[in-house]
Amino acid sequence: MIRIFEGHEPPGANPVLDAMHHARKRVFVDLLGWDVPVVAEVFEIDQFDDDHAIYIIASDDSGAHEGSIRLLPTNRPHVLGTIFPSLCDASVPVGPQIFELSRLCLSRGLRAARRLEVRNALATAVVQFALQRGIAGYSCVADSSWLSQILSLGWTVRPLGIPQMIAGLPTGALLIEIDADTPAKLRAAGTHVPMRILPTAAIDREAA
Amino acid sequence: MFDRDDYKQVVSILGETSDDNRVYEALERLTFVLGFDRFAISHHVDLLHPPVGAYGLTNYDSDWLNEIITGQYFLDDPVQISCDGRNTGFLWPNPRMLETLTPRQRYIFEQGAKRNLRGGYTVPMHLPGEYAGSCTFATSRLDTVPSEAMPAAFFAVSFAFEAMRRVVRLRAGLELRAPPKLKPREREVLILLGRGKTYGEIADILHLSEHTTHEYAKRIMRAYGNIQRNNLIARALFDGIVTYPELLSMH
Repeated sequence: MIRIFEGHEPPGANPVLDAMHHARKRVFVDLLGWDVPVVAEVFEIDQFDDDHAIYIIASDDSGAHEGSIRLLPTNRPHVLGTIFPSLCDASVPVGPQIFELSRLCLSRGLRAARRLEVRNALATAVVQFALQRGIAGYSCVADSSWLSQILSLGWTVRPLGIPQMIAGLPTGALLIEIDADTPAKLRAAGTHVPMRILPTAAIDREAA
Repeated sequence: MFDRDDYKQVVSILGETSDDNRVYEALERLTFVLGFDRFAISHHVDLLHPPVGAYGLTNYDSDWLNEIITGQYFLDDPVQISCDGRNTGFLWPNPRMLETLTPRQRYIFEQGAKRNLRGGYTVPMHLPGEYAGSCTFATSRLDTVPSEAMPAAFFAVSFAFEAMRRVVRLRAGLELRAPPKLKPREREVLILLGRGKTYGEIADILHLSEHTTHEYAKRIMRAYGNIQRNNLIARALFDGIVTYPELLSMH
């Protein structure tokens, strides 16, 4: 199932968020070697995990983390605006209608097909959330290992600047444009997952 | 340094279009913006008999293209071979490549050099469910290409590959369907089929009737749009629904 949480909670307060931070540590620190803070040796938590962060989390039937993604408002500090503004040619896109996507994390140990399903479900949820909340675009910093995944979801993506080599990988700032046609673009790309987003913190996938 | 607005415009076009003429124009413009002479984007398939769903676009001179196809250079192309197992773009020729060149590969390089294609930057493309491919930007002089061109080229090529996927879908006239989601039981049947078990054997292993096993198999084939049974395992592997270790009982 897919659930949406608004606001960060400290370790120990919410097992679903804890599982996400643990999965983030396994992926971003253990696997990818990122130089990012680790709390209590098991949780990857950074300065942007605060009251204004929004988390969309995919869990399996037993509640274990399968995937997650973080949304940050752009009129507050965020990855692109604070750490990588040089990736934008013009000013960093900010405003109430633009959020930033970061920390897309798929659990290690998922089979390849399941990884795609979870990725697709998170993207669908992110699009639905945008349409509900009047979000017109998502900015993000993408390196080469994620770029083709982001593009193959089927939505409209524009470059915000010239990509540069960062930490040995071609890295660029992108803007994902969201409008009423975006769900159809996901369907055309075969990545749309039928689901309803409930106005509460939990949403259920519709039976296929 | 190259023109940033030109670059962003080209990438935006690649991000939206489903028209392969516009993809061609955008790639040609990108080639010159980045400081290269020629581009070639294609799947790594037998160019003499390309399978459905494979594509290629290039502004190589037509006689060079003819030579590549009739000489079947694509079978031995050292640049294509360098793409295997890597996702990062690379410059060529490079020391690793030069160490392992066969005489035929040396000949292919020499033929390209005669046409002023002495070096280049190539981006491999590997996505599950797709033929392997790459995009190459070729040049007469590798030392004149700015270093900023590489990450920029990498990104633009990723956009170009996605554009070509949209072109292929449009040409196929149908929307690309995601691989069918199989129930766990259906997947078990599929794996046992892939291991060469008969319906009778599968029924015994899973404690089902042979009729029910057959029904599961039919349901799976229907979920795949009524493909034939001997195509089913190949498709399921291609889509990542089952894996080689599972089929080879290494699981």
